[in-house]
Amino acid sequence: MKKSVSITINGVKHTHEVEPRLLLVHFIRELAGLTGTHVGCDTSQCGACTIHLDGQAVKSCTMLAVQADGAQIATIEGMAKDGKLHPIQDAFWEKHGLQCGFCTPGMIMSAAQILQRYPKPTEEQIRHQLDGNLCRCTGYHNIVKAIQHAAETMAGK
Amino acid sequence: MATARLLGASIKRREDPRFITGKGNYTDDLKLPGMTYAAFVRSPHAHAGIRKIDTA
Repeated sequence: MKKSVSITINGVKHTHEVEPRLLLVHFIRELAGLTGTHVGCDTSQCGACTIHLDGQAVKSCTMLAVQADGAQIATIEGMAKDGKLHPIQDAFWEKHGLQCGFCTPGMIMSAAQILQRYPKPTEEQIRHQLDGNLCRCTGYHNIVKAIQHAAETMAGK
Repeated sequence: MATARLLGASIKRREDPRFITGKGNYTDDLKLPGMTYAAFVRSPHAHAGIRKIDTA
């Protein structure tokens, strides 16, 4: 039996009739058409599907769409405002925090949560907090540098 | 000197803006007319012929 679900994504309300088994990530990708959120593993390990649900970074492949009914969601597409990149996006570009870019949306969403928790994170804190995001290209080194750089830029504002 | 600006300088990649904004286009992001899903069912038998397929 289908159920009506309303989810606000990046400020836009999306209402769809969904099967109760539909994962949140598929609601975002297929029904809302926002394919920046990726499915890397389908087993909650890689973090490529990380989004913000009511301000909390969550893996959207680990939730059902019906559980997010009425929620406010932010995805990678909502990070840049008025054509201006978010400082974290800028930092990933500047510090070469990506190669193929597949893990990047999840990395950036997790990084945003890290910087909310620790505005001046140590390298150890960043590496620990990024535990749930896998990158197969960079070896994490430049991702850590990018997040440190973003912390500095954001502190200067 | 043009070379001085390239050699020894950190050059920002021109493909990055689309990846950091969620606008990369990966295989799973493509939507083409008439597209369907495929699932692979592998044989539990090493050497067997298919006599019929039950699609129910």
